[in-house]
Amino acid sequence: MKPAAFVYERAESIDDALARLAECGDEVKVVAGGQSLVALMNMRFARPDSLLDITRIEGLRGWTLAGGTLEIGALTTQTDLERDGELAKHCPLLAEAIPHIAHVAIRNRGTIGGTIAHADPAAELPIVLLALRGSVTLRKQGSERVVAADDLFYGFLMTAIAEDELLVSVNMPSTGAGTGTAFEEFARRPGDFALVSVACVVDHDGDQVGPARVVLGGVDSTPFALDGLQDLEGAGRSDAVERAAALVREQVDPTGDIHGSTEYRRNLASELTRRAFERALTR
Amino acid sequence: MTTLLPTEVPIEFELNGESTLVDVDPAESLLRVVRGPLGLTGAKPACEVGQCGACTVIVDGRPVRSCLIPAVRADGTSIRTVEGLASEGEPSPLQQSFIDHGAFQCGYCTSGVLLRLQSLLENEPKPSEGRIREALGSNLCRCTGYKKIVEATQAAIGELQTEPLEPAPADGMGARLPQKTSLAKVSGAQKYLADMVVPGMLHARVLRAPHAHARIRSIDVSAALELDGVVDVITFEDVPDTPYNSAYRNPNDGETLRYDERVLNEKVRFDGDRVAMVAAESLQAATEALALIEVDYEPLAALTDPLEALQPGAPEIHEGTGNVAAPAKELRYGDPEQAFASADVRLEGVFFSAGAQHANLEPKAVIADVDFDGMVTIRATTQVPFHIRSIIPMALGLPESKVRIIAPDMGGGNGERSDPADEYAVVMLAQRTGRPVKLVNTREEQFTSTRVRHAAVVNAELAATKDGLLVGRRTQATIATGGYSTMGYRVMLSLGVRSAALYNVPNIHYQGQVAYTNTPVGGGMRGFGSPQAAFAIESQLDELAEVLDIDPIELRIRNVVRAGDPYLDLGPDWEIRSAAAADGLEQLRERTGWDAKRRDLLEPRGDGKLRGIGVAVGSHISTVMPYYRDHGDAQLSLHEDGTFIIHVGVPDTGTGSTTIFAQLAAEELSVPSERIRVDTGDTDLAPYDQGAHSSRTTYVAGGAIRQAAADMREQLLNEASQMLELDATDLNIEDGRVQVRGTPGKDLEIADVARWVRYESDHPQRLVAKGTFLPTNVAAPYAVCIAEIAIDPHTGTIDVERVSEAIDCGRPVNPMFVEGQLHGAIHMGLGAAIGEAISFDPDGRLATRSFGAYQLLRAADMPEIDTVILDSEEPTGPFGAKGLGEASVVPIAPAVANAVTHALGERPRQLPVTPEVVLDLLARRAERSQK
Repeated sequence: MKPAAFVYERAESIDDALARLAECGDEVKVVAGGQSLVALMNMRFARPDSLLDITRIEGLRGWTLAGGTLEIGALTTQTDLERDGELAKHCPLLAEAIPHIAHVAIRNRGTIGGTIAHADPAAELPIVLLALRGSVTLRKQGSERVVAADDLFYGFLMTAIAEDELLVSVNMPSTGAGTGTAFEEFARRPGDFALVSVACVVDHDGDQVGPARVVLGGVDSTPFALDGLQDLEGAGRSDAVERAAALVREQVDPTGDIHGSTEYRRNLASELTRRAFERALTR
Repeated sequence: MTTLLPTEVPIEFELNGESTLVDVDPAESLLRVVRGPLGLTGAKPACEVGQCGACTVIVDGRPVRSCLIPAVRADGTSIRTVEGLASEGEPSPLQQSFIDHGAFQCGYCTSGVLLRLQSLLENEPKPSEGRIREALGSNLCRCTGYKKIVEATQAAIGELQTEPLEPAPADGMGARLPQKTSLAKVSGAQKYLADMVVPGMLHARVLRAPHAHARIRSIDVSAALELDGVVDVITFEDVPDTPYNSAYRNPNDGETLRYDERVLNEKVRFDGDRVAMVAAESLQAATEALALIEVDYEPLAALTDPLEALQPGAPEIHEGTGNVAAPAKELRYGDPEQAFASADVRLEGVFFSAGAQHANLEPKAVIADVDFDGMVTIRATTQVPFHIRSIIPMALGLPESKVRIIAPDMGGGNGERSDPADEYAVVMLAQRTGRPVKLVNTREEQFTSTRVRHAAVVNAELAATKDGLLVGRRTQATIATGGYSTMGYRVMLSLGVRSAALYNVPNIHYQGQVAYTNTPVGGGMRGFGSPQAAFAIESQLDELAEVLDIDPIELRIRNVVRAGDPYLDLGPDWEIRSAAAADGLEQLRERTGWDAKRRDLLEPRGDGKLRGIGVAVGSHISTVMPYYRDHGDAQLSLHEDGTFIIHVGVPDTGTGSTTIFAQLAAEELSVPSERIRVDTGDTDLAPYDQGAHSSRTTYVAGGAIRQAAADMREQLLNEASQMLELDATDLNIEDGRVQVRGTPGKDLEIADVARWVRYESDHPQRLVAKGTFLPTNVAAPYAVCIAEIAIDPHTGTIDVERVSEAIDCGRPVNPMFVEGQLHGAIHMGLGAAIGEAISFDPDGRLATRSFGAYQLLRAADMPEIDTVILDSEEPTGPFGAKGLGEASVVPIAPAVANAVTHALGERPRQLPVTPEVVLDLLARRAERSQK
């Protein structure tokens, strides 16, 4: 198993990378941890002409907190995030989701920017980003823009990132008192891609439910944000939980495969939403 | 900006502490660079898409998958491989603990596992068992069930708490010796076929059909031949028009084998069938060439269900066969009609077992080399060297004497390697090019194009008295052989026979049939028909227990065979000589607290889970008897330095059989087993043997080795008596020396005798002894399993919490290996119970073509395991031993199915019991309770 031949390019600085993308971004595939891309290349599902390695770029690792928003450098590995106790205080949902990503040997290489840009609808972090209404910062030669998660994912492995743009940071709001979050997923074996995953963010006062956000993975070609949660505002806890689970059943229509039929996955999505919502309300 | 073109570029990194400079192709993974130009083959290619962990190395202090890192990206890093774990040739504490605890069998996953756990221990000095299992979750193992890996890790940090082991002899029979290859396996030095390089060799790749069923309208290889580096391409137009069958030959075959295979095919009959083969100077060129072969396929309707395939009018996979892949078999004794007519209870049901994959971590490989004289040497991952030495020449029109097979130690067997598949075409390429040719399967090819367990539909009827005595069984079985028949007939026969001999049932009627289907080719797989049969039998026994309100264990004890019982209707010559299943049932009842749990587990525990406990018994064989002849020879010779070498045809698939052989010979010769070397699997050096299958290795080949050792002992005493001018009866061999009875101080070293014979006697020679074993008995092993499970009623997941297994394998040669076999059997059996199944897309293409899709259980999925080796002795076996590898897998899945039934009150009738099946059972239960 060996990928098709490609040109290997290594950006030594962000300007290097942006210049190369400006020149011919259509031929170049950016690689960070490479834990999804290289596997696809080994299987020859992906055959980029050229691989642009950005991992030597300085300044794209680690995170800062400003104005209630965590700005996480795109090259920060999932293991770095997992081991960061401080980060978990500001963004417990992210901390809860990360250990579900594959295995340690994968998280040691895999980056937050890479998993968001790859946009696998069954991956954990895209749904976390969408549930938190986070955003990404994209840079190209001479300009920078921030794209909200709501506008980022638009098809299977497809995002709003243009060919000449580089994802430089992933931005997530810090969640504090009054907001409960929870993550649930179901895989047949730990470490496998989840059949269904759910990220839940709920404002509540302990009794009544406020604005809520539920995003599901594995049920559609992109992370799926549940509609109609505004109707739950003001509802009591157990009522809200059951209604959220019912909304899932009404709205999701996952594609069945050998690991689970449409109906099975729909039930699972509903059940996991019930569990996640319930737990979010205890936090 | 650094731009590197796809040519060789220099990189530098630290490798096991040494600064290393190497030129790499950017498309080459770190794995392949470390293994290739740097020559460290401890890291293993097993999936090369990041799913199995066999290629794990430590980069900058963190474990990573080296298959997912282009080597060029390792520039400037610090890398540790398994070769760097030992210091000054001394194994690390973890490596030593792996050796002492038998934490590996085939060893193919071991280097990755060691590095993963080494890294864990460096970050976390005293991880809990849960943390160890979580870390180990990234690495797949097919042999060990992970149990001894976890124990060895705990022991290495002084945290292993186990009951003291039974005292065991230090050597010979019953000793808990590590494998002879242990040090090589933990240090990365063990060479598997994929690690071997022959100077001047070409690399082969196979073009495999992308359709489950299609005719080839045209095929054009001209563009592929023009590609730089491509040396040869062959298609069906180049191969002999000689149909063959890959299954081994037996004098009893009669008309049961269909000659339906060809080296390459004009019509493709399953997704992954061979269409063409390329030989090129590099793997890269061979791979690129595949895409340049233009094939125009006419897709045909695909059949994946064996019953549909046998319907009149179904599209024919082989013309003129009606998809009947073997003669139907009928087996009948007693008077089943009468038995059913007069029985108090009659039960009937249909039980489906899905096809399954061996999923050995080592991919199949072959290197063929032809010398100037036309002599073909084939190094192959095969369990049956002597068989492939006859079948390959038969298919290619060569004299058998022109072929030599060498089977190196393998990274797993499990039946996958019981017949050749792609080897024929590799030999042809070597013949045509005059160069050695190597083929190593990718993981995807392992899934599509090696053998699988036959999917089976078993329609079973059971008749019994109201006291729970079985009086009759009627069974109809249909199995799916895939695109070619190979050994389908034998599996179908085995399905009807071996399982029928587990309980005393005086009236039997069995009908079996084999269907062609457009699915991967069926072959031998651990249990060879018995698991599919046992699912029906053991499910039905539980149904009977419920109908009669008899405890399931009690019901089995009333019916299970014992020593002295007949084997089927074969008469007194075949009487069962050892059978401890009843004892196993009694012991496990005690150990598991069965009686209380049958009641208590049904009480809710507040976690919302539904619990159950189930039992099953299984059996199989220790030889291919009774319907086929079996025969094994072995040779033992004495070196002048007093060490022995055994030549035996059975290769070591990873079970440790070479060590077993040394232990048996050591016991007979009274010499330390470390002085016995074992050379296996070379058809030019070893006398004939049928191979590593049918659980026959210990019983048959071991029997031959014991006889050779007995002959050697006699020769040695005879020679020593001439040397000392004493009567042979005054001499004895003890503790590795020739001793004169009653006269201490006159001992001889065995080397003294060997040298005397060679250099001083009047009959100079090297002493050589031969042993032959012709079994006359089935010597069936028996296995009892109790499984305890918890079901999540919302997701349908079955959490297997505890599995206990008791085995009657006669006297254990090496109890540590016996335990290892049981742990591996539990892993495979649980896979069949809850997750492992090959499955298909609607167009018949294989859906389970990676370790991601095929649900091999990981460390965290495995239950707590308890094993018992029952007190038993098989009089016909070497020192009372018999087989166990296959029997041990048979009862596992049925025990889980019975536990599911206990928990839910509804019986699953298909394996695996997936979450969806569980939810269906729950829905059925809800429906029933509403009525």
